[in-house]
Amino acid sequence: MIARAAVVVALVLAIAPAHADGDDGAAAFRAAEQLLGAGELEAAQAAYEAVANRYPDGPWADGALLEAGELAERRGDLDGAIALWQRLLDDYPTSREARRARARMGVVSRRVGEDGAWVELAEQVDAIQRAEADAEDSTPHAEAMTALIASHPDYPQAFQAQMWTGDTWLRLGLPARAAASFAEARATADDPAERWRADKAHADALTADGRLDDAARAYRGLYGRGDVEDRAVDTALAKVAKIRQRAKLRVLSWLALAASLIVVVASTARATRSARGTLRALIRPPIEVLYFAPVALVLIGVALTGNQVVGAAVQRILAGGLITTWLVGASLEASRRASRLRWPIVLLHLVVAVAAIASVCFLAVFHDQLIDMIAETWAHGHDMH
Amino acid sequence: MRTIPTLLPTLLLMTASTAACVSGTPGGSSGDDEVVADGGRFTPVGCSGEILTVVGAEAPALGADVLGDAPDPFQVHLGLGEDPRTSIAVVWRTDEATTSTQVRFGEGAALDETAAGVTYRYIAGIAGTGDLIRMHEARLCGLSPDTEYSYQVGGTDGAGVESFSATHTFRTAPDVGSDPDAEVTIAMVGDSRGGPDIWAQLATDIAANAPDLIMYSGDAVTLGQIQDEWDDFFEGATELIANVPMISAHGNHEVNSVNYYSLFAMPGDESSYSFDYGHAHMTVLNDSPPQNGDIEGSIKTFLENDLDAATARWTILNHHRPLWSSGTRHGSDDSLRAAWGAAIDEKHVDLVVAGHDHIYERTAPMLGDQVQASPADGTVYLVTGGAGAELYGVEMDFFTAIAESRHSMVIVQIRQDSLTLRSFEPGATVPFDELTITKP
Repeated sequence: MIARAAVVVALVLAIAPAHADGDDGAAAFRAAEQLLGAGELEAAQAAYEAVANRYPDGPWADGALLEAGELAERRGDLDGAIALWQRLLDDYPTSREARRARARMGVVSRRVGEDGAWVELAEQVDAIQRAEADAEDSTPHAEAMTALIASHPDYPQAFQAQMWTGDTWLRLGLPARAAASFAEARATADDPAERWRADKAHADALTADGRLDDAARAYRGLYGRGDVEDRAVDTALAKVAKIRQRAKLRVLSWLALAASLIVVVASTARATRSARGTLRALIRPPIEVLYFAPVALVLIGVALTGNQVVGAAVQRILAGGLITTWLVGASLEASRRASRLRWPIVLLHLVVAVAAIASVCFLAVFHDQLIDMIAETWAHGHDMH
Repeated sequence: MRTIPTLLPTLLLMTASTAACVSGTPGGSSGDDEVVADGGRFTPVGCSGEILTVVGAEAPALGADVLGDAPDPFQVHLGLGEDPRTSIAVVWRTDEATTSTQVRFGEGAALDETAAGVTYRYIAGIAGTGDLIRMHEARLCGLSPDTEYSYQVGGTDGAGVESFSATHTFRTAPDVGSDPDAEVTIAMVGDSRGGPDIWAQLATDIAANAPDLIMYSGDAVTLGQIQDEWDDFFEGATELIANVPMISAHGNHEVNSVNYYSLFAMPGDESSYSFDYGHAHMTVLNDSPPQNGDIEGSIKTFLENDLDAATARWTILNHHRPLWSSGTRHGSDDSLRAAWGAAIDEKHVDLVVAGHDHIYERTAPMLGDQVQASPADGTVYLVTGGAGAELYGVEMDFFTAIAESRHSMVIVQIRQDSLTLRSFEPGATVPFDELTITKP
């Protein structure tokens, strides 16, 4: 690989002057950029360094050192990156690129520690994060990071690594593991701001995990850091309250659906006086279904051409509506055939239908947070979406 | 610098109350006097552009020598007014009674020059039911390109008592005509609403990359008239925005509020505008204007004319609702694509940056509705809606190169022949997405 990079650099430098108006490194710099664009990071870095070496007094040298340093960082060579940026600061201290090099060097220097004591570990952390970025499944990388930091508890950047791990678990849909990572991050936090951030992330993970009492307790412990933070806690606690309320409605909806089904079956059984008759009555589609089914299909088709979330909700509502219409209609029909269709029976079926439809609607909009979108539109108008 | 003259009246936000805008006229209301919130305009001495205020705000006017009980400047931040090579805008707040508006500045660490600014109040809250907010804004013009400056903001009362901020710095944009190798670094981020803690972390991360400019893609707040949310936004990034200019595209949640147009300092009418920064031409569009028809009318015309006139090596378009998105909440905005897509294709915009869907997404290069093999043949679309708002789901689509439900910010480095973007999660040191585009 090194030999390949050397060959590329030699070619770049050999052809560069032929393309430049003056031999100031412009063409060689451009060639390095093309290598970068082609994803040849090692060769591009070598080409940038060659520009700085060959044209130290040219206008491209400072930029070449900045780019070479950033490529060294991208390739996991943090010591190399610091050395290149330091050279930029030493040789071109007032250049535009020096400002950025100073900032980047500060960040990387903190990661590798004084005298580069932690450079090897910092490079391992980077390697894990890079591998995760390209991976289909992030699980082994989150586990690798957890193990790496656990075996080096004194690592000065342990907080950042553990927070990254927590975020990764959250993305994987594993909030309990995220909460554990954030708790570990809290233990290694250096200052009150970091501790607050870890505690807030921990409480957020508890919320995502459904441990609402623990989450609310954790949020309340975050008050007092400042107005901005307190408003964030207010928002989080309001969210917990909303989740609780919706969870109750969700259970009620499922109970209402179950109760509706039981009532319909019982009513049909009362009319037909046999299990087989009940089954036969409920399987036969009532006349209402013949009208409703095609309308539902058209509406579903239309809905699926628009917003995905709305389309899915429309599917659920119409499917639930169709089932409800079928069962309630069939049950009423069975009562009518048995000459048992009285007003109390009709009213009972009406109540059942309304409860079932309301429950289906709530469960449909509860899905994919569509209810939030509806609430925002209701509160602030259509332009909010 | 191009703007849309015809948009001004339709925005209803900017009035022609020029009588209140005579340069050099002391003004700035304070105390319990009646607020005339019809908006207005002011041309700072030595500058070519105007400072505009909109309906809901007073006309901007030079401040008097008055300091209130709490005159310390806060939410100090930078914006752009006109040519970023030679000018900068400085914005800050004080208590309502303070009207003195001055900037001390100078090259390097010096603070040997002063500039007077304008002040005005606006009425926050829904239907004007909130507090009166005191704003101060100054434009520093005639600066040298690619030069570092220091500055303080504040004021002095009639007795000579001073109240100034800490010293901050900024660097003017390079003049690529004389310095063609200059690189500029631009941070791109959007949709922080409801997530001030994540936004604060991202602001720290952005600062560590020492960008020259922050380009926000809208929805800093959930409801534009609510001042508390704006306070969260600006206070979460105090250090960053005092040292790096920030411009924004209008998001639908900003609802064209007086707060939005008062708190940011941006070129032109602050709604749809453009400017060159380094080798990049930046076009910013309002895709939720007060009159929806403007999207296919004046804004589309502005986009076409602006791209026609653009001469920079790279073109970047920033707005809010994505033309292409695999987010499950909103997805691709077909109507916007129908309105603007042809101009974007015809002029081969290099990068289109949006938010709205709370995800990160980068598309393959697109031309029309076809995926192209190379950015040389199509436009790359970016969704950077992950600055703190609750994340939405993603479902990979045919145009997707990468789409993830992640909080994130993007650092874009632009040189004459290359554009490199790198995307980071909060606190991460390694990007989860990278792309370099080169031009021969």
